[in-house]
Amino acid sequence: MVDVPEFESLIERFQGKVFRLAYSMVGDRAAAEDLSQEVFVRIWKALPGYRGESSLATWVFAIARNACLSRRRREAARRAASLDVAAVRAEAESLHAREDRHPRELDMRDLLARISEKHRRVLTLYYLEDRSYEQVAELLGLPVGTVKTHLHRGKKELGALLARRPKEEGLPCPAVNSKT
Amino acid sequence: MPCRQFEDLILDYCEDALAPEDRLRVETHIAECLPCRAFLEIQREVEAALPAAIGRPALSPAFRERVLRRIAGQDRESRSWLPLALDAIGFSALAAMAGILLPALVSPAQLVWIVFGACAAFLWWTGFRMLRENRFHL
Repeated sequence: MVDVPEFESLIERFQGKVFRLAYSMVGDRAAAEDLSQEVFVRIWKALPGYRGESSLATWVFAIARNACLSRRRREAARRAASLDVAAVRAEAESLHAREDRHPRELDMRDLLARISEKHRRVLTLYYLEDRSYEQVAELLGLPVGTVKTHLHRGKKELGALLARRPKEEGLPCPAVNSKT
Repeated sequence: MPCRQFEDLILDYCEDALAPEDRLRVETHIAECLPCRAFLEIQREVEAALPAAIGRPALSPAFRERVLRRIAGQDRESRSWLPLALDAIGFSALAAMAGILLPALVSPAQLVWIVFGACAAFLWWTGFRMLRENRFHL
């Protein structure tokens, strides 16, 4: 049985990585912190069953990934259950408003929200983990080559979205035109 | 559209992650390929904007204390003897009912076996629950 001081040092060792993994999956600081707490509660409960068959880090990150995926499934089910006509209409109007916005107004955050989820997750973790493919691979349980592929595809997706912005040069100025 | 064989090289070039010979290859190519030069410019823009867009979210300083509080709460809950006491009451009630009804239906020898079986079932169930809830701290 692991005692509390030992568990505290385990929290100390893994809290940053678990939090960043959660953040890459939920995209919100407060939600990621709450999820990280849930991960450590799960780890505490599962620790008596840890037999050291994999490294402690591998085991901790697997629990963290499972907790993140379960939370996302629960959230998706909750959202689906609470959908009503008004919510659907509001969502549709919001999407419509986003489409109507001039692409120039979209910043990188908006673009990130538009790319595929797995690419966004890898991109987010890559920058949070100080551009280390190995760290991202360990956290996500993926081969380094796959991480690199997702990262490049994510960047290409972002580049393609960015390239769709109309060029500013040569646009007529409405204020000048209206005076003449 | 950039040249397919240069896409990944250009992405690595943006990150300054190329060996000198590949770096020179990319520079020679983009000097004469307009689509690849456009691709490089866009990717440089992506590269420059991404860190700020992702940010550096940080855990609150009270994180560890919150986790420990949650664990203490769960432990108190899971170590409560109430569920076991309720199980015992339920089994006792069943045993009492059986004690009233069974003597009229079965022989004394059969009754002994039935009582023995019921006790074994209760012990097995209680042990199984305690093991599952890790109360033995194995």
